Amino acid sequence: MNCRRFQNRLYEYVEGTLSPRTQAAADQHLARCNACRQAMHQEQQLARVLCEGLRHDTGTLALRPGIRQRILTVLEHTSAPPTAGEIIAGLWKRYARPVVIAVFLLLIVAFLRIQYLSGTRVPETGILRSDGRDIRSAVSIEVSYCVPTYRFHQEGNFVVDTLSCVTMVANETLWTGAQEPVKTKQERKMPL
Amino acid sequence: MDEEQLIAALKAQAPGAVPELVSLYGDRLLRSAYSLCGNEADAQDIVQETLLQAIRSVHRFQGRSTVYTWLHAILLNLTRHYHRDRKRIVYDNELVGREVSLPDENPSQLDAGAASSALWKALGRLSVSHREVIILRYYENMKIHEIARQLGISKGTVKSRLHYAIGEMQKLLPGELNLFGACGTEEM
Repeated sequence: MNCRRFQNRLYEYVEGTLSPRTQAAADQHLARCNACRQAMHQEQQLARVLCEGLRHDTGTLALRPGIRQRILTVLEHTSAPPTAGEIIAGLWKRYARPVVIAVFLLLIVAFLRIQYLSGTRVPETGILRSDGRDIRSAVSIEVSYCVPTYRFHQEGNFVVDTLSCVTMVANETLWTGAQEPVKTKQERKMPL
Repeated sequence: MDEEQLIAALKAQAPGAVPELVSLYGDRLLRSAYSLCGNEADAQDIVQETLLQAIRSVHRFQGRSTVYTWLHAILLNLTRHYHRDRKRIVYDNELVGREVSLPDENPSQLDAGAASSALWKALGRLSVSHREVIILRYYENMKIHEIARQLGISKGTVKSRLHYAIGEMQKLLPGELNLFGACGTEEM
């Protein structure tokens, strides 16, 4: 045993709670180590000074004679089993604060889960048209096409053909979501 | 009446059990409570509450420790509540207010009363955790493993707290009162 190991076990050595093997090793170390012997004497001296000093002023302290009677009186008054109300009040007094904190934390977690984890956020306020639709969610599409029409009629001995073109214009607005699209259709005749 | 008979009598609510418990352990508990809280009136109340709690919960005592150790564990718990409620410790004026008189003719030796007052004064300035280990070790004469079990900490923590508490006490004591006698300081 070296000095460090002995001094780690100094308290146990002084109080005599080391195992026989460790005790023998400590005794052997003490026989040849002056510093550890001095440390052991210091601990013994410390115990003596503190024990005597602390007990000097408290040796005359005694429990008040009335304490025994007060204990008996309190026990007599509380010997009856507690009522249900007293049990509930006791439980409430003991557990109210942790329960309130736990509920509060649960509410916060639930709110965060609804807001961020499920992806169903509260929709942002959009820019609405007069009909109540958000214009940022609409895409206007306009398609126009020509439909040629040949007409034939007889003028004397000639057959005259006339080509005319009818332009068809279709407007449509595509909406995100399930809103009904607005369709408009215009027709313009353009004689050629 | 030995400890087993006393516990059996308390469990059976025998008429003489409570007075027997009080007379056997009351004074000893009071001295320990006083050393932990530093006020006699509060110590009396703490001991009364300790005994009441012990009597009410005697059915939970399984005999794995001595009755005094069990009572002292309850006392220690109540003392911690006491410190938590008060936030700071005001030691009894009778002890703290007393000036430590140092005899001029032989400054290396303090008389027992002055030394005791100085020790109590220094003890009152320690933190609760340091004061607990000092009291349990040197006032209650508990062994290291008993202190560890009583406080719910490891033996290494007990030794560490003792080391720092003793060093702190030595700084707070007058130079004439050396805790380590003529051997020197606590440094080894």
